[in-house]
Amino acid sequence: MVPLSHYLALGAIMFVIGVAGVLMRRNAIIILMSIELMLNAVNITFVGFARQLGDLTGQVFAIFVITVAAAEAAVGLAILIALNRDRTILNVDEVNLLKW
Amino acid sequence: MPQEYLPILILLALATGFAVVNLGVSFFFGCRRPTAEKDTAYECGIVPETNARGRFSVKFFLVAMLFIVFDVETIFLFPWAVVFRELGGFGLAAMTPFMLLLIASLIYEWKRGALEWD
Amino acid sequence: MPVVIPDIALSLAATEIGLVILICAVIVADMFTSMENKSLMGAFSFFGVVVLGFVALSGWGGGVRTTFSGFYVLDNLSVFVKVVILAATGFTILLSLQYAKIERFNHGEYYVMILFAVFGMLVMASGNDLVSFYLGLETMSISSYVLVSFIRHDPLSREAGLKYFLMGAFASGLLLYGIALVYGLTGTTSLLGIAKTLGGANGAAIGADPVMVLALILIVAGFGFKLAFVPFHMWLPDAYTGAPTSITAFMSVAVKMATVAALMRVFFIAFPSVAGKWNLLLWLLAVLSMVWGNFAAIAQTSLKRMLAYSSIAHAGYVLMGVVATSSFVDGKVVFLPLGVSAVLFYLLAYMVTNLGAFGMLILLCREDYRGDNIEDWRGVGRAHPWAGLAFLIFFLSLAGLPPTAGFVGKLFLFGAAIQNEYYWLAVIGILSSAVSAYYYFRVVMVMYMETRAESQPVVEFSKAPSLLAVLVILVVATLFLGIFPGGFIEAARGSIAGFI
Repeated sequence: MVPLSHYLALGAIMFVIGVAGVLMRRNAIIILMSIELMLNAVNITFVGFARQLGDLTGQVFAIFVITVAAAEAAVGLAILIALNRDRTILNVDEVNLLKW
Repeated sequence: MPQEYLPILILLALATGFAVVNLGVSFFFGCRRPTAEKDTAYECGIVPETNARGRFSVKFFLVAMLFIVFDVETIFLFPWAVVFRELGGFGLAAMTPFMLLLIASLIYEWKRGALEWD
Repeated sequence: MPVVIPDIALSLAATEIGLVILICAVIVADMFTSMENKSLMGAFSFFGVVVLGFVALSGWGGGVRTTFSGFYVLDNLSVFVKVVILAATGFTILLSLQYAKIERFNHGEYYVMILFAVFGMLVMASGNDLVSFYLGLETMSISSYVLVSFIRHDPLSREAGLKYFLMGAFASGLLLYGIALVYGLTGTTSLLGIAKTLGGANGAAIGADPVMVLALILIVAGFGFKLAFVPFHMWLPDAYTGAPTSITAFMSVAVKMATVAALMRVFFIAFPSVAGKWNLLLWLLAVLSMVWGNFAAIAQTSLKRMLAYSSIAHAGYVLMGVVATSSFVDGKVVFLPLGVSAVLFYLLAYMVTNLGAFGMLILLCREDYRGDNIEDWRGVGRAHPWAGLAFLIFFLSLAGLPPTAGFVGKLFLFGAAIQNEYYWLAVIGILSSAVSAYYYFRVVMVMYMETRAESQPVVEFSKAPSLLAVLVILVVATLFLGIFPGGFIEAARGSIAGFI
């Protein structure tokens, strides 16, 4: 059996990559992907803990997170498509009509 | 515990070796007579009509988004299916509103024309 | 393995269930309504919300009742929060009826998305488990992303939506990772269960674990982003400026109310034994928000953006009340109810005031003229004395001066801070509040002392009866809460019953 620490380490690494991606990348799609990476890191952590504790709540939480992530991605992509209707902008630094 | 991973290491080495040897053999000993026909993208035998790196219509994204939302909702059906018998009427009563809401949203997007291609 | 069927009392969740039925009804009705009659959907939603407000109110005084296996709790606190949120929703819908036509976003989906957001808020107010809390939060947030970018033909609105979405989704990621760590440490997501584990035999060891500290920091940061405390506030001025004004008003009161209620429930119920750690973080955020929010507001030329910064400062005042609830005796925390009731009363006062202030912006809005800059209000006070007086009353309340709701609310908050010996917090709050008076009264000066330039169009207010009625009600409510606050203070005090 894979020990808990491996799941947690994987989750932590993925989470840090996700956070770094959100803070450092400027392409909106890549930021969106980084956020998804963060959520999936959380899922791994939840499922790892659920396995260790023999408790189902963590798995249930992971299922809810997956659903919410899908809804969030759909809304996010819709906003991005709306933003691109008359301008082709994906770089968030160019999204600057409002003072950022 | 590192020795537990030994089989995986051996498998990795074998797989890499197999690929390298085969590609190497055909690279060094195979004969090459390129033609225009051979250089086209391989599309499972069908003659490709356009460049594979063309841009997608934004409609694909719409369909993909609608698909993914409904697709992910089905993960709630799997836990229910596993304990369907044990839950009995309670499970059915709990899932019926959920399914009704899903159907309502399907009707909504249908009626709004989100499923029409043009 | 035998399956245990939980005992579910659906009647406790009558408000939420009623709201889902209302949402479905509005969606179906919307499909059969022509484009010209979409305002009917608003009227329909408004009456539904009014009915639901009374349904929610009927839960008052029934003690603490939980259902859905402890995921959902109905107590006086949740009832108070729900009624205020539903009231804010009703006002917002009435504010939007004419405005949606002017800005050309009069779709039935607008009202549906508002109701979805409200559903999330109600679940948050009753969330007794990190799972239900998270689901409520996300339902609210995702609907708000859509609402902020609802003026599809306006690049400002779409841009605001994108920024709000990216920051909001990032914040939920942080919050979730914190929740996952708490779950790993305590083995449960139930708020009461977490408190029990942390207060139990191994509680001290878990509480001192650096991972626990990390989890608390992540959860505080997640809440910080959602409530826009400094230094997590950078999305808010843009999102509030770009969003439809009615939605800015709605978010600044209803979203804040629901999130603050959830914040109090999570920290007071689940983490009392590590209160020393999170209280310090919240103290810092409260001070930064009060100071920075007020100072940044001074420099603004857009009235809408100024009110956005002022809402950061007001969130800071509210957080001051949350911080001032904890009192430490020999290293052990004692929660003093005065802080929570002050927070609730202040949120109520802020609800009527801020909806009114944004309502005034909507009043000036026309097809070809947004009117959300400060100079657009030049001379309005003398030309239109009633409108000037209404705006003056809202500004008095925002600045915390008598005889208005904001004054009583601030008195209550600073009183709680002083009584629980948070003197520094109270001093900083009062000083920053004095700063805020400066920029509010600058607008009043512009309204009364300056004359309109030749190039500026003549002031022409909206004549929508729903908008005027709401503004009159909000002015009266602001004054009433300021002059006869007794009954509402009692309600805010009674909300603590069974909470802490």
